[in-house]
Amino acid sequence: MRCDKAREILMTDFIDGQIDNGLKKEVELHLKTCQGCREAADSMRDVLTRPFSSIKKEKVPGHLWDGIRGNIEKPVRTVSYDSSKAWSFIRRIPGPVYAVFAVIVLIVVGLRLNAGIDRRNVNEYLYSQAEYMYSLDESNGSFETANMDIGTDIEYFFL
Amino acid sequence: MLSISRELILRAQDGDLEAFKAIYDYYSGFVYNISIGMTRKKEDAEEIAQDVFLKVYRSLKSFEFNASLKTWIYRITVNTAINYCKKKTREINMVFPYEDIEMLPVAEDRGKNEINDEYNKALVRSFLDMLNPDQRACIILRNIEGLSYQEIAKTLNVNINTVRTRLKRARERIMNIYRKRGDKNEVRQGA
Repeated sequence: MRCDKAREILMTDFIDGQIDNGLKKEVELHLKTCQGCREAADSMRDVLTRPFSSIKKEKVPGHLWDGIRGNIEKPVRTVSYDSSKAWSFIRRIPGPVYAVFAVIVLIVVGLRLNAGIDRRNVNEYLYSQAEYMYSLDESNGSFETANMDIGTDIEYFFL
Repeated sequence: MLSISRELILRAQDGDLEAFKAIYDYYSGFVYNISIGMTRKKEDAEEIAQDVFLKVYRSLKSFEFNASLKTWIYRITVNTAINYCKKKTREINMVFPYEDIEMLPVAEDRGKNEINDEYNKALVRSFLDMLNPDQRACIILRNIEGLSYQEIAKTLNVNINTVRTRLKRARERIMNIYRKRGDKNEVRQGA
């Protein structure tokens, strides 16, 4: 067995007693003939094994269980929908923001209503014109009927 | 108590606090000592141990007896402790003093048995400080808790060769630093 291989096994399986019998015999045979590896094995035992053998286990503090039990018995907080909390941010909005928001809403609503009125007027006008054109068509487009005053907006405009 | 029976685990799964206390009594020594080995501070160890048992209690219902309860609790413990150490290291932006030779206790302090024990304790503590959390967990499980390579592999959920490699690297580091310390002492004595 080569020294590097022997030292690798010494550092792990051998000093931990996790080695199988066949390999153990090989390593022991190598140690008999190699002083360097024998010294390395002694040094490993001194540094890597011996100091740990005198380590005593720490006693578990009594209050540890109290803390665990306290946490277990603590009622689990369920996430429920609380509408008062959900809208609580509204209370934190400053007054002037409400005023600006209200003005914007009024402007938008006003513009929308105005646009509706305009559209209604245009529709009424178009309807009356269409009616007039239709009446012209019904009277076969004669000059007399074309000059008849039937009271439409366009007549008031041109006549 | 000799061991944890299946019936006891089933009772604990149903929320029986007395049964869970029996599980706690059986494993708290391991959990606490692993935690203290990993962090070296009692307050941190208590925090980890508490966290481990709360995790065990809350996920006990999902335990299906595929692995042993021992392996399952050991795994939760080691993972929690490793993560705690990694998080702590990140939080304080600390680099582990891997190469700090000054941290090793001085060999001349060795004398009577009591002093020897104190010396060994200090030496082990400084060895563990030189390792990263994964290597430290391996050394603690092997050298302090006495787990076999197979048990360590199961606990860490890694291959047995990974355990071997981590132990080897950890021990090489310890030996190198120990040797450097020896050289430094010799230089001091020679001066």
